[in-house]
This record gives sequence, C-alpha cells and structure tokens, in this order.
Amino acid sequence: MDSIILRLLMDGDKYGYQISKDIAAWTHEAFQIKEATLYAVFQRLERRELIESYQGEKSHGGKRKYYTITTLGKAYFHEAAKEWKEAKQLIDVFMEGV
Amino acid sequence: MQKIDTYVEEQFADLPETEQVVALKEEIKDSMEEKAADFMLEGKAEEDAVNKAIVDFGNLAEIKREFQLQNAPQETSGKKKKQKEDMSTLNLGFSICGSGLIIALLVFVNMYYTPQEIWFVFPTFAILWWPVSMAFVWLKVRKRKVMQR
Repeated sequence: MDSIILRLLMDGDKYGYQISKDIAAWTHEAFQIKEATLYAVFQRLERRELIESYQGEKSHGGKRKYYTITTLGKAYFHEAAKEWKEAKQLIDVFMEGV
Repeated sequence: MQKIDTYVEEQFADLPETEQVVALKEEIKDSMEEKAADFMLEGKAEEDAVNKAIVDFGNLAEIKREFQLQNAPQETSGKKKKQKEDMSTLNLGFSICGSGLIIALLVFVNMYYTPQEIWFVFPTFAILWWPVSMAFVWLKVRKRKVMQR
C-alpha cells in the first residue's frame, strides 16, 4: 500500500482525492481504495518522513493539501521495488508450470 | 454538504481542536465534498451523493489511530518510562547510602560498647537485603530499556 502511494507521487505532487482516483484509473476501476485507508497511510508516511505536504492553490473554496515525495521516500521506494522483484522471481520459480 | 461537515466533526469530537486536527478535518471534508460532487456529475441526487461519499470513504477510526500514533502518545509514554527509570536509579543510590550509614552506626556501637564481642555482622546481613533488592529492580529496568532499543 505504502509503495503504491509512493509510486504515484513519483509522477508529481498530488492531493488526496486525486490519488484515490489515480489508483482506480491505473487498475481500470478494479481496485478502489477507501479514502480513510489512504489518509491513514499519508499520516504514516509523513511520520516516517517519506512524504511531505504543503498547501496548494485554492479550489472549491478551500486550500488543497498536496503531497510530495521526499528524497528518503524515493530511496525507500527503489528499495521496496527491488525487494518486490526479488520476491516475485522467487515465487515464480515455484509457481511456474502449475 | 452540511451533512459532511457534521459527520466529520462528530467523528473527531474526541480529539482536541489543535491546528493539526483542524487541518486534517478540513482535508477529509474537502475530499468527501469532491467525491460527492463527482457522484452528482454522474447524475446522483445531492442527498444520495453525499451519503455514498461518506460510506465509500471508509472508517475514520483508521485515520484517527494513525494520527494519534503520530502525535500525543509517543511523547507521554516516553516521558513516563524515563521518569520510572530515574526513580529506580535514585532508589538504588538511596538504599546504598542508607544501608551504609546504618551499618556504620552498628559498627560504631559494637566497637564502642562491646568491643570484645563482634555482633554487628548479623544485623548487617539483614540490612544488605535492601540495596540488593533495589539493585535487582534497577537491573530489570535497564534490561527492558536495552530491549526496547
């Protein structure tokens, strides 16, 4: 979950609702994340200093809060992606040809 | 849209009105309102759209839990533990000093009044239990601290 959000933030700064729409769009509506989960993940990532937030321009009468990935967050994502590929390869070895 | 406002305020009623809480509530409200607006574009009635936005948003307790983790409890629990640890060190020091003074008094009384009979060692053994027990408490606290790290 954390990695998915970091990945989407790699493409540029986004606000909360935009990310939930992006996730739905990337997966062709197959996966809809609950916003509550999303904001909980934001809190966690911010605490671990993997993302940062700032107030964006006004819209809908309120200031939007944008999230941006930190250098630490990028490093964390690359590490997570590497680990995932290794794990995937390992599982493929056992699951292929079944 | 009033309904979203009321709902979020209700859900977060038990959190103090700090700057961060207000910002978080604003963010959640904005997000819900946008979602409801999207549903209305799809042709839903406002009442319907608002309800669906709230339900689809999911359980706010999840956000609250992460939020509380981020803020208050870390500081208070850390402080409490530190206080307890300080007490154990102080207790150990006090027990060593106190038992040392009592033993010194016993040695003095023994040597001054009955130098022909050495009896001070017997009460000394009893008194030594005090610093020994405090030392064990102190070691236990220190071990727990190391394990937490």
